[in-house]
Amino acid sequence: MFTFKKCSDNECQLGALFNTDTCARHLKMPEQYIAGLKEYISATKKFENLNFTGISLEDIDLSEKEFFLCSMSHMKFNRVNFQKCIIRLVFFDFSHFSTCNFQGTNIKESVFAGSEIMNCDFKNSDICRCNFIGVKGEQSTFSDSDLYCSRFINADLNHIEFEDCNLKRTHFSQARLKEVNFRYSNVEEAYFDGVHKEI
Amino acid sequence: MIFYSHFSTDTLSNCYVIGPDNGGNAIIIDPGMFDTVLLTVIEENNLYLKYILVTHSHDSHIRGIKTIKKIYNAQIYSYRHSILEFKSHKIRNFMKIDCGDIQFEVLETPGHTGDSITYRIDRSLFTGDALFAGTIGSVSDGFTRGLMIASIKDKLFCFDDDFLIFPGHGSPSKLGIEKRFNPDLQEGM
Repeated sequence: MFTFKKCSDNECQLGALFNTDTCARHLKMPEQYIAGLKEYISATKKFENLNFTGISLEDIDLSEKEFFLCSMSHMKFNRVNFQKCIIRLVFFDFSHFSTCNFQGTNIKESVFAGSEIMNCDFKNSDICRCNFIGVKGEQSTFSDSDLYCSRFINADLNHIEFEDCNLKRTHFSQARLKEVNFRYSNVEEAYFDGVHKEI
Repeated sequence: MIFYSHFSTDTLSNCYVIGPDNGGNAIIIDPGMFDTVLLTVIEENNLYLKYILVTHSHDSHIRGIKTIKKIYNAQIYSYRHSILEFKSHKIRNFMKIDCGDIQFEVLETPGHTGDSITYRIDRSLFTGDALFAGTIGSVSDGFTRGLMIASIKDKLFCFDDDFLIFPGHGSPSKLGIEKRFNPDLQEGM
């Protein structure tokens, strides 16, 4: 449950971003805001109940940081390092991730639904009870990860590695899979009904 | 506002605690299990469990009530007049109830069970086993499936796409995500 104040634009229903009065669309000086935000993020270890919706982050190191109940929807992440982050109840829905490193992350109850995940590395992570429904994933890996109870329902997955993963209660129902590798993973404990598999 | 989501490894269900920032009377939704982790969170945040909201009366969503009632003088809210051996406030569609600073609205979403309720608190929906991320709850036949889909569309789809969904099992979601990607809800969309 988010408790953000509203954007100061009278007609806008969106929440105000962290440390300002407006949403991303109504920022008066977006470049200055992003620069200040990057500085704050670099100097801060733990983020809780903050709104970063709609902004873009590029070439930034977020490794070993902790995110709790944050709104990071509709964001663009390009070459962002999330290595060994702790992420709980964070909403990344409808975001774009390109060349991001999530290796060794501990992600629980977080939402990536509707996002584009391109050339990203989630290797060796705990990604439990997470929502990846409707994602478009390409050239990415989740290998050596625990994906217990996560959901890839209705996802488009192309050249994705799930090698040696825990797939207990992981849902791939109605997903479209092309060149997806499940070698050494417990696929018999996952759900695959209605999957479209292209070989 | 304090918000805590707890996954019970015993019942494999989610339970949610909501309370004021500075401590005080708090709400617990679907206590399928009440363990020391939950107790620690509540006590460390100076919360007192005053309100128990039940989305439906399946064991995995109510088993912890017995323990809670031994510790806190909490009132139960559900579709039924009693839950386990305890009296419950019977609640019905569109009722709005104040719990101190927090108000919840009742939305009947039958299908999984006849007594299924979704609770709206601010811009969040606690859907129990009616709506999960990417699926709907289990149903016994075609009639109850139709009933559940209709109740979800009638009662929940009127809210904005950015409403958060906190289900009884599995990952959270948003209403807009479910409208767009949930295969069970695509019929007639």
